[in-house]
Amino acid sequence: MVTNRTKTTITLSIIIGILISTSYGYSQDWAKPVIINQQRVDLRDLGYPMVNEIPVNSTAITSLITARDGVIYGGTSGDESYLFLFDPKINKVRHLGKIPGHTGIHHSLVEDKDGNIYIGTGKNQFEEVALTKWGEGDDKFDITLWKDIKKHYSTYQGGHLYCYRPVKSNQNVKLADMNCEVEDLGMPLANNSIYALTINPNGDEIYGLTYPDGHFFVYSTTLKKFTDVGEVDRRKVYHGPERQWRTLPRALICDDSGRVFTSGTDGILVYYDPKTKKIVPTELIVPGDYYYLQFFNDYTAVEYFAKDPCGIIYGGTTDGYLFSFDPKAMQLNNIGKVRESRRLRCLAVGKDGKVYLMAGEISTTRPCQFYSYSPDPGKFETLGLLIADRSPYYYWRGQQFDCMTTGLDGTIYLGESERKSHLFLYIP
Amino acid sequence: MKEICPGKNIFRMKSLTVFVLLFLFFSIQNVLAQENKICIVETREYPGRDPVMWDGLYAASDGKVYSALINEGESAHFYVYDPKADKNILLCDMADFLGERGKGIRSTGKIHNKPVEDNDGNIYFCSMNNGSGPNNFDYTSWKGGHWMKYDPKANKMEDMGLVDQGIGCYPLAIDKNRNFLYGIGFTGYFYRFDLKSRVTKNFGRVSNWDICRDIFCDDEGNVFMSFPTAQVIKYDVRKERIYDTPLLTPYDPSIFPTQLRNPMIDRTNIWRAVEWDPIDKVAYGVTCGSGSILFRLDPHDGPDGKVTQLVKMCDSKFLEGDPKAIPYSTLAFAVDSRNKKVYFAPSARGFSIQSYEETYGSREGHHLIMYDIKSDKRVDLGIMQTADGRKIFGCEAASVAADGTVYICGQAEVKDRKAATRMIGDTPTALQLIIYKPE
Repeated sequence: MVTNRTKTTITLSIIIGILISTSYGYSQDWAKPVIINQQRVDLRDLGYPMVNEIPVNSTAITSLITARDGVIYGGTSGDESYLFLFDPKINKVRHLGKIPGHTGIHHSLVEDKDGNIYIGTGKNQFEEVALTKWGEGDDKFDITLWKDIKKHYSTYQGGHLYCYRPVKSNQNVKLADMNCEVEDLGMPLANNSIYALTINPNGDEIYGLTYPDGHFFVYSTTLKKFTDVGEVDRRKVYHGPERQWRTLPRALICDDSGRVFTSGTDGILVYYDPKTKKIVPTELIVPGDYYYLQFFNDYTAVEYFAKDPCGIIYGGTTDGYLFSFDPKAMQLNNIGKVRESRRLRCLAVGKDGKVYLMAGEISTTRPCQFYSYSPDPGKFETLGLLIADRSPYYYWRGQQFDCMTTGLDGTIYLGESERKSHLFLYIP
Repeated sequence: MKEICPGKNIFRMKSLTVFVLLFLFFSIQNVLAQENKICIVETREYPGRDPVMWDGLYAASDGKVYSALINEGESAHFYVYDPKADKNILLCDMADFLGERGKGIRSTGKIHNKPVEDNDGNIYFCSMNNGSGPNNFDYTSWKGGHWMKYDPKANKMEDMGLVDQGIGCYPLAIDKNRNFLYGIGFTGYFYRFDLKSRVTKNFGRVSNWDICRDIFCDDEGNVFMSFPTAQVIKYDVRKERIYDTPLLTPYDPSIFPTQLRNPMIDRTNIWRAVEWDPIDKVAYGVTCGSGSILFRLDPHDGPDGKVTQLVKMCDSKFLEGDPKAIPYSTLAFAVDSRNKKVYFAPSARGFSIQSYEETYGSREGHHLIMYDIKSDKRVDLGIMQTADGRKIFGCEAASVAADGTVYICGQAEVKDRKAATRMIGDTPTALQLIIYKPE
């Protein structure tokens, strides 16, 4: 006969058992995924493992674009720069060879009207810049820092613009030490990396930014000629959070009329007018974090851009703000910030109308986290860490990302930027 | 024509049966004898009441033994045992030393590395929090792990600076010739600390989410780490870069993973503990999952080095039973390079398909396993127990002194319930320094 006391004991034992098993069961997974449908997150190695992968230390993905045929192209930074593709038809990444003499491809891939891919190269932006403690003479600290940055680039001849022709070269298999089949179109500015690229709607004029001098340049694919338009920012500021980087815009975007937008001096939104061939300041300021009690003259810059099908431009800033911009109405809307950490590293507009964003600094303790923004009704959703779990085959937590693009089917592709990186996929 | 002689065949069959039965009887007796054999150890209590520890035990060249014990949510404590005084002494309350008490901030509740020693006898370790909370305190309030130095001659503890903001290190290794400390942080990044310039450098991510708990530095200054699945990666000191190697440590994917509710690539897919043998210039390590397989890694054999599988170091009861149930390895692993022996105190716990289980808290008898390098033989030294009959339970750190004494840190039965930090069934236990003196 079961007494009430026995029943109570059994019930309590079951409850305690459940509580214990629950707490222990998950105690090992100390970074919990937020995305409930984990099957929607996956990753690809950058090549066939152990055979022709892009070598570790050269895998940080710092450029991604979706070509019109649906192929995703990526560029890496590290000891050497590589070009790669992800072809959804074969569901694999294949690298297309390295680009000798260059260690970075930062936000600098575009496709022209004929389907050719243009690559802007530079120095690996993550490379440590040797900072000196004592300047020359009685240099102020900002002058010393600028000289250190310039010195870092003084031994680098300069980033080149290259043309890669997929029709000619995509079928050629490359081993890790083989070069990419590119045509060298020249160098826009000596001792400078190409820091960002975009292309006009006609697909025949490429626009670029350089680092560290911050020049805006134009390359005509028909004339095969560079034009240096001059500095986008007349001041040298170091707004951070990276202490060894000059604050310069890290992205460019063309509106549907062909104007090329970025940020400039004082964080003002500026555009290059292809008709007047001049950089024009607007009255709009990209959103940043400022401490008005303090003395300061530094400011944020644009980090990444994406455009929705209606022509609305979304931008992220180095202070971590998301903004939208209507280039027809010339209206900028500060949407806000998703987390305390600075930097909105990259973003993309999904086929579902949501804006997907990766926010966070280059931090070992507070890594990048993934979010979405729905314009209607205007709300953020936290998607957390990107974790690809296909145990026991592979499992990896993405912590650093620097580029993003939307595939033709709506898949969001994200470029991890670590010593050993992967192409992440998120299927909304 | 064959001679038919049924009686002779029956006699032969009977003899065979008797032989088989005798063989089985003696085999079982042998196994039981091994399982019941007692390994007499001594224990020394710690003055604090820290309930757990992992890996933080080091027998220094001067004979002193350093222990790093953990009181999560409060402070880690650093102790020294002097064999001459035969006593454990508290050297440092980490939260107090680092100025974290009384500030409403997260504290240094953990030290999770085996301290290392330089050529001058200075002791180094790295502090951390890494989940030790208090988890209801603002995460960002913890400053980060510190590179710590203890000078035994001057009896001076020194904070050499932060590893990284909000990051402390799990494993630690030293390059005694170049004066570098190496560690892997909580989020998987590999750090080098220059003892001379006191500068920390991050060389990038080297670990999956379940951080590699032990690394080693070879005689050339290269540092070796384990990466899932069973891969060996190497920090090349000349190139100052980390590369994948083609080396694989022994791996048996058929062993139960850490947990079955959500099995994933975790610590069971890498090595658990590893130690450099400076005399033979090879490393010995034990896999975490895969049945606690001992291996030797010779970085000088061939262009990339060579890994050789040796023996299973799991508790003897698992050798005969279901190999699936072998629990993942503890960190109670130590190499006696002078006497050519490897010691390991494996977990004795079973495996629950419903929940995650730890070594600590298991009420089973815990054996000390020895591998004799010269004869290539595994020896079960027996169930650890004190001369007065007190039992030893889960152990998570070990180190061998210059005289061959084996020091282990683990849960020991205590007679006074007030001295207990944990009850295992009805048995009061506390972490104690366990001393095994080989014959």
